[in-house]
Amino acid sequence: MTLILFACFALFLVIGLPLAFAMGLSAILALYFGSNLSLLVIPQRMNASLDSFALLAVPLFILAGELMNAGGITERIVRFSRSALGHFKGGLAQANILSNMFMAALSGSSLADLSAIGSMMIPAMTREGYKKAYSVAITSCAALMAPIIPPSVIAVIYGSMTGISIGSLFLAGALPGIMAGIGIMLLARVMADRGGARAMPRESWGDFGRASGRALPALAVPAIIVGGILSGVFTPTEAGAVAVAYALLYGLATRRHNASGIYALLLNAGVTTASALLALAGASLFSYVLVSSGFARLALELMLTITENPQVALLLIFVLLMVLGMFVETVSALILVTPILMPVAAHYGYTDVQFGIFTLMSLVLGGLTPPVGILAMVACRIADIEYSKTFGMLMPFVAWWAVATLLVAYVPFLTTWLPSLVLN
Amino acid sequence: MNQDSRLPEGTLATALPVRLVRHALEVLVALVVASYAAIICLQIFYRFVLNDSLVWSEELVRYGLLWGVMLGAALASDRNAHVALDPLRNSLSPRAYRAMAWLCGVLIVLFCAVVGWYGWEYINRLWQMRSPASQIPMRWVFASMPIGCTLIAFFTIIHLISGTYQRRDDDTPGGHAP
Repeated sequence: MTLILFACFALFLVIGLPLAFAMGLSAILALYFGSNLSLLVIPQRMNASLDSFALLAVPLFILAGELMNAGGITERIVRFSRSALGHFKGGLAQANILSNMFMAALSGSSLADLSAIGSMMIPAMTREGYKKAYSVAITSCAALMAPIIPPSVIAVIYGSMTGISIGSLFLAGALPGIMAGIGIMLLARVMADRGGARAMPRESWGDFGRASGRALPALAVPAIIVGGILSGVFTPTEAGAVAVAYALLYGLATRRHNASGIYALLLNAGVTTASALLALAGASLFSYVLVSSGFARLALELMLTITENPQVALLLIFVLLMVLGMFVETVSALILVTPILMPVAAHYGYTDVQFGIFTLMSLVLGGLTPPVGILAMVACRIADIEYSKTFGMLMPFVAWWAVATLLVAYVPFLTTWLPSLVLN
Repeated sequence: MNQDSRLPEGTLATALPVRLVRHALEVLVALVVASYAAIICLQIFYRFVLNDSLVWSEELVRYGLLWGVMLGAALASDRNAHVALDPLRNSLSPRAYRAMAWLCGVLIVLFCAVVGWYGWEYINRLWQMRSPASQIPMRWVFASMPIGCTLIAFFTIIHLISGTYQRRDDDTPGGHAP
């Protein structure tokens, strides 16, 4: 049963079948040829995996991010970041990272942030004489913060699969995300000479004040989310709906929204959500087969024969997740491994939010690395440079992200402190 | 951008009946997505301002999500926005790529046929069941699966026939993955 599952899945991926169908169909074939279970479990599992109030946060945060972006918030954030950091050496790179950090707190997905900020910052950096490979490395690595700093689409999916509170996952991601961002900034400074980075003239305090004032509305969304969840006023899904309402009003106030634009954004959010959640439904079938064929138990036993030590096991899991993330897109990879990892995490006794953020950080790294580093590839397309020419610049950033992930794995304070405030 | 204007004119993918289905579907998906935000905001308004919790709102948006995902997935098929690896894309001749696209299409239709069929069986089993809070017949809720699968298969077949199955270069690779 497991053999049919993996053989079909690999074959389907190679011929280019979309992941949702590849996972779903290989599970169906494994069920049909490898077991005598009723195929009625197919609609039952798929419906059950989608029927969740928590999952509604996915379309809501996607929509809120798109509305804020269309309302012109990205330009204001970029403008503010340049004004604040532009006069340092490699100032545009620093501003790029700071903008990404802000955008991460508005939207829950890397690709959206990357295209919004990258299309503004990368051409500007190239004009200032920065090396394209350096700009690509910085922009794509900074985009990794988006799914770690709340809100996060993958945290919603992880929470809805494991039953861990999405609110505490959001809070748990805040510090590691900021820490990773500061690290990227330091690294960008260290590599500034290799990247051809320069400083820009310092702006006057008046200009800086105006830029800050104009960027201020962006801070309302993280305040709604983190404040709402910390105080227990909102669930994450409700915070998403409030963020949508706020973003809509913001765009109307800046006169950037019109009916046809909003219609297009609604459609976009609908399609983006559907392709992610159809993959979730397909993967729920896949993981059902994995669990019912006993593969998940087998995986745990295998882990136990290798090591009994939880700390060593964590390192092993990190390597496995990173390799998986290199080949499979983050959402699908997450849905695939979570049912297998849950018993493992429970057996070794890891803290659940800490293990969750660690899992997410390990998986998103595949967005930078070959063969399918989607984030780096999109950044390369914006910069008009070949992906393979950026590897040298990307590697230090990949290494830092790996270090940050391991810090999260071994330092509980980073993830458990903020959520613990809610309980007290 | 409007999907009609992206597709080459004079193909089956832009024929009038297909355009009608596409537009109806687009309007529905936009309405469903807007309703998530509107209904949840209403729920918050009732709880805080009127001090009166709505009973039906949470159930309704949850079922809305089932429909939103299945209908949105059909639109994603229409726009080729599903996440795929497609590793052989650049190493195959156009003819071989075409053959592979057909194979993928057939597999998608097979998936839709199985899920749609059993989705229909599933509804038959639950024909009389109603939702706990708002007494919505569950057959209307779970009808999202067979209907969504039919529409996914519909757009897949249309794009295979009209030759517009290729991943467009102006899109981001891997579709719109979060």
